Amino acid sequence: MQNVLSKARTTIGALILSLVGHGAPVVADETCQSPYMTPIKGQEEFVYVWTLGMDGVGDESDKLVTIDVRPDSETYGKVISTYSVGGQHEAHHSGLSDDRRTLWAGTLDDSQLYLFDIATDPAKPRLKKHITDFVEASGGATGPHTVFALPGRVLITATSNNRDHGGRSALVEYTNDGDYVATYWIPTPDNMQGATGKEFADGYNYDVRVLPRKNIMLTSSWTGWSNYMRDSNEVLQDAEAMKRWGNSMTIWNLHTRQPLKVLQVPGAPLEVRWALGEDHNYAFTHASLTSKLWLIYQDDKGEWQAKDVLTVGDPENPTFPGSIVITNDDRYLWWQGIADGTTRLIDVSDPFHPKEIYKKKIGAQINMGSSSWDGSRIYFTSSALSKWDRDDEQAEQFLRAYTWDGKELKQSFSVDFVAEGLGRAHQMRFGAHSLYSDVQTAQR
Amino acid sequence: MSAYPPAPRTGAAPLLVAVAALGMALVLSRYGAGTASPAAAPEPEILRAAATTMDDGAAHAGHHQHAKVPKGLDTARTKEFDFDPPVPGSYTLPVVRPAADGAVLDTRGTARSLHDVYDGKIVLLSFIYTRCTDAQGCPLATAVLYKIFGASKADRALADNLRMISLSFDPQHDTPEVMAGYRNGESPDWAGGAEWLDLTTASEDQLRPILTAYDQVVRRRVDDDGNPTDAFGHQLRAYLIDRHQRIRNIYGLGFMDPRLLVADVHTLLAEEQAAER
Repeated sequence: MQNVLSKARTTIGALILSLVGHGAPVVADETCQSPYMTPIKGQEEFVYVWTLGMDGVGDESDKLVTIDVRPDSETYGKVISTYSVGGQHEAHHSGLSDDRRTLWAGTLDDSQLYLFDIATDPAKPRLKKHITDFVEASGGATGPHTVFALPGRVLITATSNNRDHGGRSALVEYTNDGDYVATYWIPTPDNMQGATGKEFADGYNYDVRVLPRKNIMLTSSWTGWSNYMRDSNEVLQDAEAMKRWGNSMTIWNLHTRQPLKVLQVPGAPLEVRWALGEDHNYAFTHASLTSKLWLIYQDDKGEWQAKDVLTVGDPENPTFPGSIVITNDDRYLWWQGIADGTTRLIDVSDPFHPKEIYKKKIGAQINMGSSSWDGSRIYFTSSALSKWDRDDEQAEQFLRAYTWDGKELKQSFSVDFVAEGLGRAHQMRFGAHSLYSDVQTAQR
Repeated sequence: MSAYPPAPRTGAAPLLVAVAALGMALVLSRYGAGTASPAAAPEPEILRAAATTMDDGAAHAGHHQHAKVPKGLDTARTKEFDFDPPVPGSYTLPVVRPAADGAVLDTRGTARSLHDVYDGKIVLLSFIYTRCTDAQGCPLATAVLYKIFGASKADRALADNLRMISLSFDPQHDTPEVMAGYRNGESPDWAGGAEWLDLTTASEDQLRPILTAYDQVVRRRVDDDGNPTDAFGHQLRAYLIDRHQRIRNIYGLGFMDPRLLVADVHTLLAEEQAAER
């Protein structure tokens, strides 16, 4: 008898094969940032898009693209700056330092980290540091993904390793200046580091978020370089490769960075989104392979537990979610389906009994959603991974901006990343002059 | 007894002192330390209240161990910090970076270097400015040091090995005189615990390289016309520095739990003891 996960994999495999390739994940937006960082609660002015170089498009190189989203600007909705880093490195995620002066942008293929100064001129980021020794410094972790701000430091989730190129990996800590501090490996059955849940541990890693008042850090799991840098059709037909997806999440002591408990969350649980309410001790994640929404919560005894609370979309045609976005009142989640290019609004006001209440087709494929703090503006991008994006006649690469009035998403503008010679639009971060408008006494 | 003259009180405008005191009182209230003013030394009763000794071994320390908690610290959970603190020594603190030197002034106006002030102690360094009225800013940082000082009155290891420093990033206003009056640090009420020094710098030119080296971004607020005000925008930061003058932890809002800071100091002490064995 097939278990749930293998059945889902089979279903997804068939679906994706029929669509000629789809893929993985992404993060961002103001409600989902580090609590140690000041959110932009007013109008964001710029959207920074970490973009993959694409054969036959522009200079074919990875680049940071800046889009003007100031409503009264003459260049509203236009690309106003690009910074090409040269070459294709599988640009993927980016993150901000706690002072929002630096945007860290990582690459999955060759483990580069590019540190952009977005404070001196938020309209025109410039490269200020390029870290090339992430693998060596970290002791073998590869594929830097989430960059999460801590006071004076960043915590980076790595997604693979340089030994077997699978999913076992680590959290890697750097100073805001880009100096290596420490590596924390995800627990594995043969090295639980004091944590419980050995039967669920796989050592995989993807995203990280924290709940400071509980001193809790939560990580999720994905897959390794050997899968995400391989053609999606090959992976999905390879039974052995399909076994190498994460099925766990790990609860950590935030202060000591020690793992406490491994939870069973099958199907590649990707983005971690803690509720924001001051007594809401729970988080959500989306299992990419099963299209299930999972709730991570503290039970009556204070134990952290995981429970799948909703299957989104048609179970026979999984949405293959790439990202989720929580609203600042903890009432809703936006759910982005890679497979159907559709965003869905999930009512999570009762976190144990969520329900889908709205959906809208955004494009042939979407991966990432990024929302303003008040939820009135939301941006979507298209790319998942270079070897997983659609390459059929429907293939497109874009950033599309929408407004949300509580009832309907209405498109504000769209940027065609192929026509503009940019590449594959992946992950977004917001910027604004107001973050840096005071007189500077000292800066890095 | 120190020959130091009574602390002057003329440095800060009375209104600002009152506002700052209110902010401090609010913060102390949150932390259960009663009321106090940054312009006046705490009453011994307040220090005793802050130094309440918990039952040894009562706290479960988060990582599968039971051990004595540091003496003199209230280890009860709060709404903001709803967890048990870790057991000192059950975890490690990586070296973040070297703790830079810099030219500073003490409350007597004597020129000193930061490394001279560190003096081979374990140091908690907090950047503040005395006119800060943000209850989640400098008053919070000082209130946390208050609590740790209270703990050190009952914890010999803290008293002997820890040095706390409040360093102003507003040298234009926070002269040595003003810093002397910040909490009346020369008062005998501050005896018997960890030493706590209030420092400033001679100028922004002397201050700037220190802030840069410690990655402490500070911005003077401007008004609607773009003119500088007395207020600063800054991220709450405090630093744990070991005897080798290396930063071992950086605390911001959300980490400013005195139980965590004391656990970290004891973790460094445990590390030293292990190295000696």
